[in-house]
Amino acid sequence: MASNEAVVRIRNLVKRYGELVAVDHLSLDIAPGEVFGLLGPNGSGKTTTINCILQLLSYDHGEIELFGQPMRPTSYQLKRRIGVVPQEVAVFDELTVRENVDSFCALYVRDRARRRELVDAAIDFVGLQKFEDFRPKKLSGGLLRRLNIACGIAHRPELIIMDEPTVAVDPQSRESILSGIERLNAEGTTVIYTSHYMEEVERLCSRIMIMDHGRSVASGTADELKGMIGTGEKVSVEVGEMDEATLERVRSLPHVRSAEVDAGMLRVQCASGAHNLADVLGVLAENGLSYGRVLSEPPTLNDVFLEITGRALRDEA
Amino acid sequence: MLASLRASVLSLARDKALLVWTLAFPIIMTLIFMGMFSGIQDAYTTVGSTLGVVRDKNYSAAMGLDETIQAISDPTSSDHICNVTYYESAADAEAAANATEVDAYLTVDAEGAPQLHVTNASLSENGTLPTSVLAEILDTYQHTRAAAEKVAATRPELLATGEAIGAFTESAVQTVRLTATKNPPSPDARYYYALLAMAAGMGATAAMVSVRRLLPTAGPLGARQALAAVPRWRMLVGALLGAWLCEFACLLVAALFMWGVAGVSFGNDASGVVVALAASSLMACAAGTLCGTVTRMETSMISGITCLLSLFTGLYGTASQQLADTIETSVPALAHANPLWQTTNSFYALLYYDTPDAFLESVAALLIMTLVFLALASFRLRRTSYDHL
Repeated sequence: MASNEAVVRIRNLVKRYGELVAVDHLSLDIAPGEVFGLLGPNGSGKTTTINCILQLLSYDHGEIELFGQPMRPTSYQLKRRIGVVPQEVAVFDELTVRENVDSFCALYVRDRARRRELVDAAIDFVGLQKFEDFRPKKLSGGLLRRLNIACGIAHRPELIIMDEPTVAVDPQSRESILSGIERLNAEGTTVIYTSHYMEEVERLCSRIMIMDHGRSVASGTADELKGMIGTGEKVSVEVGEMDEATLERVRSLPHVRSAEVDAGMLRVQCASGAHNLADVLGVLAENGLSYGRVLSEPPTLNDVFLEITGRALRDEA
Repeated sequence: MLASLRASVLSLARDKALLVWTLAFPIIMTLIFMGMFSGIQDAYTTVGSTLGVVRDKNYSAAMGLDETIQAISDPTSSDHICNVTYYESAADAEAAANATEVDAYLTVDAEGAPQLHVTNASLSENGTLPTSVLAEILDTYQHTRAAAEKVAATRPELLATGEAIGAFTESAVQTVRLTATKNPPSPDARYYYALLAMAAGMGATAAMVSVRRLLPTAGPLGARQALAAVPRWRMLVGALLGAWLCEFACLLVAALFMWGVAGVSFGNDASGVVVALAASSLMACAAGTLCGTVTRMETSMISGITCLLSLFTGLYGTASQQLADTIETSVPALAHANPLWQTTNSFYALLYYDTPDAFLESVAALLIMTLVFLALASFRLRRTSYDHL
């Protein structure tokens, strides 16, 4: 990707906190119109990277360009083109929904008439028309999240950075938020999206980067990432009872990583292979076992994430 | 800048805690003071006295004495000093004085010389002030009478002219109200001024809250606003102006309430009062801005500091006032370094001083403190920039 096309271009970004290297020689390019997913366990360097992009943090080494221009703390023209939806709801408790959206919009747009249009549009976009005169304390968690988004997008930024915008919201609100992001993207907005909800990332993101220990450990489309790991589908077969010898035959199949029977269901985790389901069902048929429901689940992004970053708990000292 | 000013004003105007401390608190305290100080006001204004007069033949024979007594006891006269009760005998008058029905009683001896009798009971009840005023009047009467007798003995023809009589009667009794200050002393004004100063100090929390909302180090709201497409200093100025407007408005309302409801005098220079309120609220906002840069500082700490500084403005009673006066006398620099003392003093200067020098000095001191606080705040803000998330 040519650098003049990138909305975000990072080269060899290094950020240290004393001995700790929070971001370790990170490079990435984000093209216009992409929804770029930034994944990683807690402490992997996602938020630090975003704060460096936004110049909220200085960094030890590297280059950051937005829209082809170096990003500096005083790059106000560039900041005008960026919108941020932080992970925590960051609004004025004493202002109403409309006043909040207007206050944040006013940080980028001076013209009052133009601002009124933008605020109306932002409130419409997140569906808060009925709550315009409500103060944040009167809003539910989902409505608050939507207000948080409206405050970040009201000035019509070309690049929106969303840091876990759907934390602690109900499924309806989440669906509303996700479809809103899809609409923004359809209008041409570039989005950087971080989340721990893999299904959201898989649904939204055209490209994904997985970070760990401050480094990019994998990047590509969701399918590309799934192809990078050896994990294949999960096969579940309703078998009733099953003898140990048959179970051992299933386990000995070439692409089977594990197999176990739990409450009458045979659950088989396969490595990537072309005929895993047929092979498992073949073993059952050869041993005269009848079966009921059969379910084959392809590998998910969550499987990819866990395989790449490991299953050990994070956030521990 | 306008965006942060507007957000600051709207937020602060709806912040109940701030409204309580900067507006409700001085108004409620004013109402309490009104109740407390009504007795004090009476004590300071009751300077009249009650005089018993033994109206016997000696009294009737004393030239001009009855006229003098009637002149100072006429309630419709501007020379009214005492209320008079007449007794038939000295024993009756003495009994009345012992019962503190009168502050003193007057008898006239055989030579026509008036004598003022004061009992211990009256002195312990009323002090020496009422009787000393009466003694001074009687002394004046005697001098006048002696002069008239001398003229009568040496140049009787002068008494025939109205000019000489007029001169004697004019000088017989004169009371002159002397005022050392521009306005009459108000014993409770000091409390109200100190209360306004305290409210101004409490208002520092407004600026603290406004400024802290803009600090990326203080929370997600600050971080979000740090991404604005305007320089941070402009946003800070907007927030500071917003806080100042809110605090100034609250103090103005409180001062108007004191003046209109409690009858507190601020002198005759209304514009001076506005300037003093503006300067003190600006100083408080600058102090709040400085406090806001210390992210670990709680708003309750501003309340604590304000309460402590108010001790040295005399807000907490006579002991506190004596302490403040002692410090002002013995270590004036320490008193002058107290911003709340300067606020109190600016109102004092408006009320009592003929020239604006003392007032201007206090206002200048408040403005200098404002600049110092802002300089320190900007220094800290530069240090706590983006790398302290």
